[in-house]
Amino acid sequence: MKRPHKVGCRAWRGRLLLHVDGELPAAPRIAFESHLEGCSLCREAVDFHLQVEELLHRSCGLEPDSGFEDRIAAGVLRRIDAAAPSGAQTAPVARASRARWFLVAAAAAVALLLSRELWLPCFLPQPGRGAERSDSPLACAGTPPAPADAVAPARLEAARRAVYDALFQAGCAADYRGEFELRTASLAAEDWPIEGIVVAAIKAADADFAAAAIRGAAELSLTAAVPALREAALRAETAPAALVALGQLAGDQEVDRLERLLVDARLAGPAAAGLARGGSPRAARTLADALARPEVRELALTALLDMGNVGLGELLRRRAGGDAFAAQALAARDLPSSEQVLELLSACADPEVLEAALFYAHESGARALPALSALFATPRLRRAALDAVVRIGGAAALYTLLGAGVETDARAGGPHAAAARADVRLAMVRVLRAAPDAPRLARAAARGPWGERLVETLLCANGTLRDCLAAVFADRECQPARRARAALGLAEAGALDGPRALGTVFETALLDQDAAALILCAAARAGAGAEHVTLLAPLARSTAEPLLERAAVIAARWRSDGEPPLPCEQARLARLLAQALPRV
Amino acid sequence: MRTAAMALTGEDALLLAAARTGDRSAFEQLVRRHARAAARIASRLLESREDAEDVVQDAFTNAFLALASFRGHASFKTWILHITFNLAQDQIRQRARRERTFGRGGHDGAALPCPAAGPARHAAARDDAEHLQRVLEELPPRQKAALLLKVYEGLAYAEVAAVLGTTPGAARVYVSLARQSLRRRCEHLLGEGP
Repeated sequence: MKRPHKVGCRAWRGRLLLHVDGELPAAPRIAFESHLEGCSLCREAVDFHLQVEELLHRSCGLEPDSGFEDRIAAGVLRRIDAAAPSGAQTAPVARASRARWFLVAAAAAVALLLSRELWLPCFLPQPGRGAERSDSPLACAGTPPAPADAVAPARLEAARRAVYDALFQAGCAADYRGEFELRTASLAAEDWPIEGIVVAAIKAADADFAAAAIRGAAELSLTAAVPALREAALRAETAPAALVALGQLAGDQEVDRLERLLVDARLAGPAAAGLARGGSPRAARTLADALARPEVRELALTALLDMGNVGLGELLRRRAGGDAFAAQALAARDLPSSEQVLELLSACADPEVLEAALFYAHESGARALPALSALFATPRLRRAALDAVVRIGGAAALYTLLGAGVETDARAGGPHAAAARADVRLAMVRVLRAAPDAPRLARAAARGPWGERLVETLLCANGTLRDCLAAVFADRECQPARRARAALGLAEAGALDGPRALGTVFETALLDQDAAALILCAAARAGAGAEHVTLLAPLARSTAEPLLERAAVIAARWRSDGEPPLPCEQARLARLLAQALPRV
Repeated sequence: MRTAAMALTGEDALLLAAARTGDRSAFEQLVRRHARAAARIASRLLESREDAEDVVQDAFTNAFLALASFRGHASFKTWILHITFNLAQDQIRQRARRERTFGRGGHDGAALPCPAAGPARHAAARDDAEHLQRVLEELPPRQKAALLLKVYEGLAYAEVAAVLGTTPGAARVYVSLARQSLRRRCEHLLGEGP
């Protein structure tokens, strides 16, 4: 039966075996375990590896018998006695033994070097691994490899082909490192120094092979390959790949060299790609400078955009500073999108770039609003983003803020929720104050699904948005409850015409008696008295009686709460009701 | 943490210090503590109990003679496994040369018996075990050793690397390749997945 290829999903494959082996540190382990809950592919892979482990343990025919230790201990002591008759002379014996091994090892090393000299110049010079090997615990007690193995021509040819295949095929694979490690594992098993081989292969005469090795060096972050890459950059056929790799591996050390090559039509592309791979702010500045040169402008722009936030940030910064070339470049590509601005704003720690991005957002108007609104929940960026929204202004900004307010409420409970709500509300007030047609804007918004939030914002504006409140109150298409709250706000600000408000009770009472009662109270507070009670005449007695009772209850509630919105009006309201009821 | 086991600490350190002064009984204690692990690796690599015991004795003898130069960067267990592994590899090479010259000779072909398993269980598992044994035999020595050290000895990759004289990344690759081979060759021994 054919089983599926159980290697887990690609993103987590590297952690899978470490998890099975219990070698994953706590944080990645927790992340992987939570991933496992939702990933059947990885779960199956883990189960499979555990089954293999169990299979190995099931076949436990490895355990020595019970007298084993005695036999070994006796045998060892016998051999020690034979090698050194006096146990007290262990150290001298060890030195003699080491000297013997050293001679054998030296002879073997000479033979190995001589044998490799015959073929390595053609293809794979032997890199030094002496330092690494000298730390081996076997430095004093091991056995040297057999020289005969090292010179077998067939074995050398097989190794050469294997390295070629590994580099070339892995160079074509998306997961270069994983592919390369797997393909060279058999060589590593035979003690071939893979990293040294890659460096040596960069110098190979075969250009395709050398280019694959160069890509390999870059992917493996093989900084030891930098000198070889500099040589390869001088060879016409390997120069493009080498320049890209140099930019990645040597970073700022290579910026000057790559900048000089931008004038070379043949190498400008790889040089720009190398700068982009380097990814440093200095490389971004160099590329942005190159925008002034028409012959490499497109290359430089592409490279800058390949750099992600660093490149985009540099472009925006220059644009904000008045750089016409940066502005042209962004305009030509219709960049950045709101998603890019969002990503940049979220990730950027450079205040200058942040300012530039926000400036861009302001200029790009409503297009940037979704990106900006996504930042409202981030304390570090919230106020800057809200400032940008206020600068954009208009209906779109107001609705963005209203929507964000709802989302902020939905996330309420976090430590910054109250502050976020207050900031968003203040931004709405600023948008309305700055809008030339604020009443119309407020009236339209009050009719919508976020109308409650708008009215609440208007009530918090300390009377500075009375015209907006008046527009909402006067709007017959607005929900009565919202109109009533607007009426109360106007009454508190001393901006309500009481008798006129009494006249609207008739139209609201038919829809919402609670709202009508509130308007009645607001009117009373705003100066409507018994002399105006005839304005309630259109109401039927069956409607008026409960309405007035509700108003009385509201007044009583205000009184009992001890926080009377209408402290000085209660007597007036009571008198009004007492007078009005019999007349109606 | 497993990596902490790399450092030379605890009872091994005391025994080693005593052995360095010529205390043979202390070294004998070290032999008794670690001979079993060395034998497990050697017997799997050599597929012969006699050869394995011979190699283990050689390894401890070499270690005793080299005690003065042991710097303690790795644990004693890692060191002794490293020596055992290299001696076993030497044996394999010698055997290969003999076979090239005189043809394939016989070895006992059986791993050390497992005292924990009763006769019934042993018989029931025999076929599977033999198949697994064959698969393991066919693995390249380093893959086989890395897998055994990882699975049976429970060493961390850094320790496996120290034993094999390679890097932890390469050790991981060896174990991974060995597991892939097992997966290919032992599908029928594995239960159905969930």
